[in-house]
Order: sequence, then structure tokens, then C-alpha cells
Amino acid sequence: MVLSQFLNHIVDRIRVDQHHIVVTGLSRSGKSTLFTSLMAQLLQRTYGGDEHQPLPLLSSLPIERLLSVDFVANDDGTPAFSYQQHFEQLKQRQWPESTRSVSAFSIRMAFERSYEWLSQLAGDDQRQLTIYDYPGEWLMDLPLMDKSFADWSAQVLAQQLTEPQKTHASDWQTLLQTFDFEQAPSPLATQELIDAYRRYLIKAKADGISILQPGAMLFEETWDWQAQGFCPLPAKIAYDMSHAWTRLFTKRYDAFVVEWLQPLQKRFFSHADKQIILLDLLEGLNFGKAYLSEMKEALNHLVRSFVYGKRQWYQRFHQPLGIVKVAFVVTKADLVPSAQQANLLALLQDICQGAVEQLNEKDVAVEFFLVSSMIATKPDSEAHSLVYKHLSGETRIARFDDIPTRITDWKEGDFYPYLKALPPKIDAEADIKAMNFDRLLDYMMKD
Amino acid sequence: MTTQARIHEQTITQDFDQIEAPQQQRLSDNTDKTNLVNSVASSPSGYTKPLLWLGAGSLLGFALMDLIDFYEQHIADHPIMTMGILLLTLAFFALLWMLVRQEMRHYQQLQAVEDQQANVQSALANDDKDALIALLNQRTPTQVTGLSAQLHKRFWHSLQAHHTTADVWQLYQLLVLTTLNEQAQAHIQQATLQGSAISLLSPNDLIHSSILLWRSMKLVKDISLIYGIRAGFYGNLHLLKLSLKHALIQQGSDLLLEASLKQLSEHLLAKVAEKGAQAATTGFLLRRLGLATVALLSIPQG
Repeated sequence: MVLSQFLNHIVDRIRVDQHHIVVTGLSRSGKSTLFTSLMAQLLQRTYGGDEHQPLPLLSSLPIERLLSVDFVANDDGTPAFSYQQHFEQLKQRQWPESTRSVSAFSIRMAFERSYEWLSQLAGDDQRQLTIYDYPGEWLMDLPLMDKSFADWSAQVLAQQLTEPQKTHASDWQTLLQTFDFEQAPSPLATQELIDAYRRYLIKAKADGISILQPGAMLFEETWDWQAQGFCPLPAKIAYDMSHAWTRLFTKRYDAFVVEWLQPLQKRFFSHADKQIILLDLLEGLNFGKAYLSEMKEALNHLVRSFVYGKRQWYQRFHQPLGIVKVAFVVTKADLVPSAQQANLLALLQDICQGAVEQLNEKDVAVEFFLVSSMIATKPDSEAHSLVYKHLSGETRIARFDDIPTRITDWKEGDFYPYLKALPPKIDAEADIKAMNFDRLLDYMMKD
Repeated sequence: MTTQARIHEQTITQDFDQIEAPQQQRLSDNTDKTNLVNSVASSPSGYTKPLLWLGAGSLLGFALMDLIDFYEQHIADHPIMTMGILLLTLAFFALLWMLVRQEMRHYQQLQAVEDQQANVQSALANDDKDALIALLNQRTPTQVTGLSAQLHKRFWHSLQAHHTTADVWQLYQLLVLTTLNEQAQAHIQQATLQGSAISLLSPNDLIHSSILLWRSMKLVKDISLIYGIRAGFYGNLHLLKLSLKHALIQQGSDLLLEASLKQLSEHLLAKVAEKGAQAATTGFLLRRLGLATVALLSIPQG
């Protein structure tokens, strides 16, 4: 029985052209909305009427040859992405809630082959798309696998010395300077430190900071932070391996890496051959220059956490699959008027520059996209303006000044307030309109 | 440090959900489209239309004068007969007038299509989205039925405000041109086979030539209908002439090769081989003619 299952699995692997796409996005980058929109539009593309064709530029999945689209169960036991729940939320004009746990979905598409005899011989042409949804905060923890506790502590505390983290970390830094590290690490004292650090993380997250480690600390359910929590320590203590606090936190840090991060990476991030990196650049525009610089740094860290580069066929047996194609994507791009989108794209390229240089060294294909998985705005008669429905129900026109194309061109204090747009009115899948979603998918699906 | 918001907002009274997107406005504005067709149709060949109208007007004027003369001469002697003939003649001229107008309209439409290829390439080169949309709007058939009309309808429904010039063009290729070109290819294949088969069976050269002419006319008409163009009789003749010229210029070398093959077969394989070569030549010629017509009516995938 086991052997037959194994053989079926192998045959399936050979027959079905599989695309494992890891969608990498920090929290609030719009992953859940993107997945809901993707599923809705694929369903509409397959089973909807002929008149309206969603994802019209998706030429790699030709509608004329598309026979069926099925959502199949994930064989690794990951809970299924709750499409219906998210879609119902959108129908009530509410954006999907932030993801708090991992879920996955696989879409299997069957295509008619060009030759009938080939269909008789090998069955339909099948392609499978597997995508994982997970809290974006987890991503920022992956670099911890390559660092010691002392090095991590030093790096985190160094980041807190500059803006934008400096302001948010002031209370935590004050506590760290006044804390009595000569006392033995009692449960009460340990908890006091960890709670203070967690308060800093939560506050900084709310204000749009990207580099927050451990990101999993923002979710109580991920790890037993009461019994196994840790936080950075001042360098003179962290590098003293005989210090009681260092010994305790190093032990907990190592346990976090081995028991939480390594399985996480193995399960969700090491099977991918393509990657979509979602960036909520609009949040960066909202917070200003320092935050955009911080986003650029976060991106550099992030890219170091994945395996890139093409594997030879014999390497695939003993090495994780390498990512060979990356798309850097600005989500919610419809919140920027058409006349400013070229500037937004240039700014994206500037922010990704460091990450792209790293990828170029590994011969990874890179492309940039401005995407909106659900268009919530309408163009105004003036190209620098757009019309949207505010969460309060008011209809507003927003006129944009020119968006700087490079971070260095940005004036201190300038910011582009985040437009709190209500989701569009949706009654059925056919009502969902997306922007450049088909171009992005087409790029990812083409070999 | 002073902060400066770079987005300036104002609240409006209009309900967001009732605001129509600009693309939809463009779709529903038929007046715009008519003006565009007229302006583009008349602009490149401005002298054709007045000349045709002058010719038709003169013909009608002479006919009317002749009719008045006939009326004055015979009304007194044969009032009923004269009135009957007069009414019949008027009806005949009304029908003729309608036919001429229809032919002229179709001919103009065809001329506009000929100019569109260059205009589309120019709009693409200049990244002029509005011009491209206007040109594609022109190509959209006015009738609601038919493959071309359906495909165009799907294209306009899929078009969104955020699409760039390149997106619009790719969308048009994917949703309209690919299918139309495939349909045209299927017609060409059918015509090639039919032409070859009939040519093989035809007893003499006169019949062979007549069949070739008829099939060529039918092929050109069928292909123009696939692209949603009703070229009319003279339009189809014009199209046939252009297609033949195009085919001969573009692939003259192929024709020479086939002619020499035919000559060779005459010497070597006598009558059977000659008929085979004749059939093959007919097939090749029809195929080339079909492809040339497609090249004229479609837009190159540039």
C-alpha cells in the first residue's frame, strides 16, 4: 500500500507540471486578499461566461485549452486556505483579517493537449500551483538561523540606535540600561525583560517598522514565550558566555532556531522554485524616508534567507530546490494614480537595488510589478488624481504630488498619507477587477 | 522637523459606486466612434469621396432630366402608363442610389482598414494609448452578431483603465486577432483544398481559370467577413486586386519556382503530371492570396 502510494506520487510528479511559488510578504502586504482574488479569478476564468474574461493577459494558461480548475488538498497536512471565509468578508466590504497562522492551497489545472493522440497517451496537460499563506512577520526570523544569540543581540540593539526604530525603542532601551543583570535570571525578572521587549515590538509593528525580530513574538500561539522566550542583551553580557543571562537566552534562542525556524523553513520555504516578494510600498510612503530606507534594509536581509540559483538534476536529490525566478511586487498599486505609477515603479526598483544585486550574482531572473489584486479606486479625469471610497463611506478625490523615484531624493518630513479605501462592491467572483495580476501570474507560470 | 503631506484630498458628493469608469464611458460613446471613422476614412484619400459623389450626382441628374423629358412628352397621350413607368423608374433609381451608397460606404470602410495598419504601428511607437484605443474602436464591427463582433465585445469588456499601450495591444492580439487569424487560416486551408481538387478535375483551361477567379473572390470575401469588414462588390474587387499584387510582390520568387516546376513536369510526366502541377499551383496561389488578404485586413503582430 505504501509502495503503491509512493509510486502514485512519483507518477503524479512526472505527469503534473508543478509550480511551487513562495509568496513572501511582510504583514499587511495584502497576501490574503491576493490569494482570494487569485482563486476567484481562476474560477471565473474557467467556469464564468464568455463575455467577461478575468486575467486576460494570462497567455500561459490559455482559456481555449483550459478544461478544469480544481482546488486539491495539500498532501503535507497544512490547513487549507479558507477561500469562502475571505470571499464572504470581501462581499461585506471588509478587507480580509491579517493572517495569524499558516495555510495553503493548491490549484490543479487541466489543459487540452494540441494533439488528440497525445491526450490518449499521456492524459490531459496538467499544471499545479501550490501557494502558502503565512504571517509575514515569520519571514523576518529566518536570518536568525545563521547567527549566534550574541551576534543577533548586537545587531538588534545597533538597529535600535537609529531612526525609525530609535523612537519606538526608547522605553525598552531605558529598561535595558537600568536593569540589574547581576541578579540571577528568575522567572519574574526574565518575564519583565521579555514583556518589555514584546511591548516594543508590538508598538513598532503598529507604526510600520519592518525589521522586527523575532517576528514570531508578535503571535503568542507560535512559541511558548512565557517559558522559552528571549530578548537581546547588551553586548558586554551577550558575548560573555559564562554569564547566567547569556547562557539562559542562548539556550532558548537555539531551541527557537532548531524547533521552530528550521522546520518552518524546511516545510514552507525550501520547496519553492519561484518567489513573489510583496512590498507594501504605500505604507513606506505613508511613514516617510526613514521607513523606506528601513524597508530596503529589510529586503536585503530577507533575500539572504532563501536558497537561490538553478539546481542541476542530480543536485535536486540532496539539495533544496533553488529559486530561479523572483518578482518584486508593489501591492495595492491602484491607490496611486496612473500618472504616478511610473515613479512608483522606479522607487520600487531603487528599494530593491541591493537585493537585486545579490540575486544577479546567482543568475536569478528578476522582474518588477505594480499590482492590485482588487481594484478599489477609480481614475479621475485628472491623471494625477484618483477617486476612492473612504472607510467612512465618503467619496474622495486624492491628488498626488510627484512621488520621488529614489529614496535619496526624498525630503525629510514628506509623506503620502495611506488612503483608507473601502473594498469594491462585490456580489460575485465576476465583480473582482485586478490590476496587472495576469502579467504577474504569466511571468511566474512561464518557464 | 516639519512634516508635509503630499496627497491633497477633497470630499465630493457623488457616490463612488455610481461613478462610471472612463473606459466604460468610451464604450458607450458611439458618437465619438462615428466621428473617428469619418475623419480617418476621409483624411488619407480625401479626393476619392467627392469624386465618387460628383459622378453619382451627375448620373442621377442626367437620369432625372431624361425622366422629366419623358414625362412631358407622354403624359398627355398616355397618362396612366406614363405615371406607372415614372414610378417604376423612380423606384429603380432609389434602389440604385441605395446600392451605390452602400458600395461607397463599404469601399470607404476598406480604405480606412488599409490605413489602420500604419496608424496602429505609429500609435504603438509613440506609446499613444488614446490613439490606439480610437483605432481599435474603429475596427470594432457595428453589428452585434458574428465572431468578430463577439471577440471585440470581449476585448472591450476586458480592457481596464490601468492597461498601458502595450497591454492594450497585447490584449487585442490575445482576445481578437489570434482567433480571427486562426479562422482565416482555416478558410485558406479549405479554399486551397477545394481549389486544388476542382482544378485537378477541370476539363480545360477556361473552366480552370473561371474556378480560380470565383474561388479567389469568395476567399477574399470570406476573409474580409471574418474580420468584420463588409467590403461590398467593388471593395472585394479592390481587395482582390491588392491581395494579388501583395502576393505577387511578396512571393514572386516562389511563383517563379512553381512555374518552372510546372514546366518541368510538363516535359517529364505529360498530362497527369501537368494536371497535378496545375492543381498544386492553384492551391498555392489561393493560399498565397488568402495570406495576402489576411496581411491586409489583420494587423501585423509587431
